[in-house]
Amino acid sequence: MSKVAPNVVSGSDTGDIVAEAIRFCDDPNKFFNHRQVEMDTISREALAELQLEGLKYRFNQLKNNIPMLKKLADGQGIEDIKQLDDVVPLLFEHTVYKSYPPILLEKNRFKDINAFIQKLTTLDLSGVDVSGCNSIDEWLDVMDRETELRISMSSGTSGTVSFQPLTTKDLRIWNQNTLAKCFDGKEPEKHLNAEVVFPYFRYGPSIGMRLNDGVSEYIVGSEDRFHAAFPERLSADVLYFAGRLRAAQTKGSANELTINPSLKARLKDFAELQNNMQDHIEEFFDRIVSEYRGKRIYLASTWNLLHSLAERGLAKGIEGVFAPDSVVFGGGGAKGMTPPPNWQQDVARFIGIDKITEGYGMSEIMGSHYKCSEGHWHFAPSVIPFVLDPDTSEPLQRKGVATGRAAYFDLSAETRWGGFITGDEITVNWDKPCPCGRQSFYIEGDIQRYSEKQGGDDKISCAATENAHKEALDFLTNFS
Amino acid sequence: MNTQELRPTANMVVRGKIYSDNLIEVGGRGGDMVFLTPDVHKYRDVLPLGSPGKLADLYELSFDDILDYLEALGEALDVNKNPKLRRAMESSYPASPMSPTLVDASYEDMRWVFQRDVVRELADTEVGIPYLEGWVESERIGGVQLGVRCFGARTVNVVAGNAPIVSAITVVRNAILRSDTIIKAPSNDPFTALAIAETMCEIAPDHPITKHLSVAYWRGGDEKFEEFLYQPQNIEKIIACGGFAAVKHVTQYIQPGLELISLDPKRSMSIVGQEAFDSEDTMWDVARRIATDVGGYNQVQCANARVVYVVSGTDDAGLERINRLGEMVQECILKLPPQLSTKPKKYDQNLKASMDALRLTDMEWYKLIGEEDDGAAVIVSQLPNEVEFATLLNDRVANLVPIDSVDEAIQQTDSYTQTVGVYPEELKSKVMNIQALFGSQRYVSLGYALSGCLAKPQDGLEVVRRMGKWVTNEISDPEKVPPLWETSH
Repeated sequence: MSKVAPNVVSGSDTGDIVAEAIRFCDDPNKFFNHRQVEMDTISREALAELQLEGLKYRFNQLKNNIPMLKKLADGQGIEDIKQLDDVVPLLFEHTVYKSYPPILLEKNRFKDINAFIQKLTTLDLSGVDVSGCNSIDEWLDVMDRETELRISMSSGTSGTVSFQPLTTKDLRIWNQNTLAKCFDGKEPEKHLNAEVVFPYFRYGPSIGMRLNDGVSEYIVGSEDRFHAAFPERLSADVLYFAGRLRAAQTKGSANELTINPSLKARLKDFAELQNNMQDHIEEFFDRIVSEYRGKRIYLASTWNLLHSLAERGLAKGIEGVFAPDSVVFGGGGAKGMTPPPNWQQDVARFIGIDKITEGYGMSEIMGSHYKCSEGHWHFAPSVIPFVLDPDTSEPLQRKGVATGRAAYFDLSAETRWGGFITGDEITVNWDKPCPCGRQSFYIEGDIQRYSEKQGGDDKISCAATENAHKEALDFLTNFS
Repeated sequence: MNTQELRPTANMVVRGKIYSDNLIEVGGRGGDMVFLTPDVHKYRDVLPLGSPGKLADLYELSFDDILDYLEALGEALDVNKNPKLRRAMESSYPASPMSPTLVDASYEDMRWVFQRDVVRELADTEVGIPYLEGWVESERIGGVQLGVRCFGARTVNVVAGNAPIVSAITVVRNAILRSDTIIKAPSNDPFTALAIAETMCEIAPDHPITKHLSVAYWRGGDEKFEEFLYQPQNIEKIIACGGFAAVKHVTQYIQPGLELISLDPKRSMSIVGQEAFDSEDTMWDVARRIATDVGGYNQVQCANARVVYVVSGTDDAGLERINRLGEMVQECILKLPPQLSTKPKKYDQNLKASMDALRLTDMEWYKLIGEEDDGAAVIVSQLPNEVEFATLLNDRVANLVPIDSVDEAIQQTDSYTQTVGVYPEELKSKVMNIQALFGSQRYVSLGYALSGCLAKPQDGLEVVRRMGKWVTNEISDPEKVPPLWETSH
């Protein structure tokens, strides 16, 4: 089945395996010939060998070129990687991506923000002039225009913003990985012959919207096929303000919030957007239902947006709208919001497909872990999973059944450090192969956030972005 | 060591009766400890008081009887003589956020709140003893002779687990108000309130005060149980301490007839004026005071300072001053007496992740003094901005923030701001009359955040008064108060 595995397993020659591992890291999708089945059936032994070699390759390549990694490795006295667990002390905590003084963003000090991001990427940002930027949107425009970076921004309820220094290549890897999943069990084609329906903003700074560019380019092959509910951009400044507003509301100090002058100047636009939002969604819904009825669509979004789209239809008695070979990906976790029990079935019924594909991913890792028929989340091959003791962050043994904090190493990351410790509690069964036939390791049962277990969550997750954004727009548009 | 020792039992006390059956296993916070406790669901029938008329026995007591009882209780709560309390103290080592020597010290301190003069002062200033003892009458404009009396209520106290004294204060307040309370023990200190209650059962099993105190553990947010208990026919007031989620959770049960007195999560700050830099000696004095407010009881209390705003100026000279002060503060934290502060027993992982990230960033935005392994650290911001994770500061980590004017500190105030330590004393007049409008609740002389008196409003509330029910009696003599029935148009 797999053309790769035999080569690797028989690769007693170290040179071969190193070369293979580099090929694997540099483009995991290509390595597996863009076939999901090859990704799913590579043997555990062969993959383990590739992953270990790949990890060594990435560490050696990046250790002196990503300042934060270098500082961490030097501090830990780690000079090389001999086994997977050696990388655990070098995994980044989520705090790394927001460890700049909040005032820098409040005061539009983007030169300093770039100095901070420079600590996280191998790309040289020294020539980029951001001195004239008066808003996050302006700054991101410059960064998009002048660098390969496609910074993904996420906003926390504490009011601070994390920046993930993704690149155009990262977004390609993610989208090509998704494309392979679209053809799961079928002969892959260059593009998916489908119309993209996207129930939110076409452009925006968070990962869900950052990926849209790649959806046009790599998945359906044309921007003309992309149909977003809002063709405009979700403002990064509004998103940032949304986080600060939530934090201030909790403390009863929302009235004391200062609003960036450039944001203030755009209040009229936001008011218009806000006033038309409902009509706009209604129009979008009518349009996609009438124009693309019976056609094949591609729809990938967070569960809440998918479900509200489905509910809108089902309430009107509309179901089975699109072609049965339509592809729907849902995710975004349930963080801070509880999804209704049958949201997947509602969405599938509205669309007219048997079932949707559920993925578990995050903006730090360019690969989705898909749920199989057994309800297990299978790890993408280019991502090395770790289960850590939630208190000490020590790795738990890679055998038996282990429950702990999830951490990942994304081998495809070549300009940023792919090692990341999540806030998610997972249970991995390292021993028992999944009855679904996939060879990969997998997560059993639910994925829960530790912060939520302890009551309260510090992250406005993908799924909560819509609400936070709406609240911020409400507040801003009532502000005078 | 047998399993029972590994998993200590927290009994349940219901109005003088100790229950130790139907044990279930419950997990301590942060995976520190697992303990056994009676399954509260099995005691649904006995836990609520039932008829409020059953409070009447408390009204056969005089205030002096209450003082006698509490005084005797205080004497019995000597860890050296009371094996229950000692066991409670030792059992709470693993789950407490404080190190053992501090737990020991706080158990020693606990007896203080039962002293006769302390209780009397509390009752007199925070309620008024005459209002507790009977009807206080006076004439009002219009001729009404008004009587006012403070009655007890049927309450639940959701107590915080970060200091054992909280349980002791709860017992005292309940006794002076002649209330009936069910203390919901916290998972990180399931033993303290219990040991007090068990001691009460021992010294005076049939005393009305013993008969109106219960201690039980259930998981906060156990909806099945709370939906049952938190009903106006069972409870009139819930006094809840706790984190945002815990307090927010309780609000769903609030309805007419059931009131919430919310002691919200709090944090505290210090404001230090430029006078701190008058001389080397003054700097050391200020550093010692900051260190005490930051490091006392290992920074587990809401009154502990976390962010310290210093009017050092924000130019190079100002930064040099505040950096020097930061070094002194770190040194002073390490020198705090062991009964007050020790090396943290376990460094908070979330805080560590944030501190590590600052170190990796390696920019001139922050100066880090000390390592967590030293047991004390000071982050001196080099911009007039607190760290992003200011709310996580604990385990003896302070953030010193340089400012040019106290207004910048005032702007950082909100309803979460409890204690503000100020130096010098004269600076208070510039700060407190404005800052209080933004939410701050308590002012102390710098260095005294963790000391002070018991008899005072708490968190901006007259808590003890609110825990009682204030009933009026209007006596109207038709000679003095024109009757409405004789009202002429």
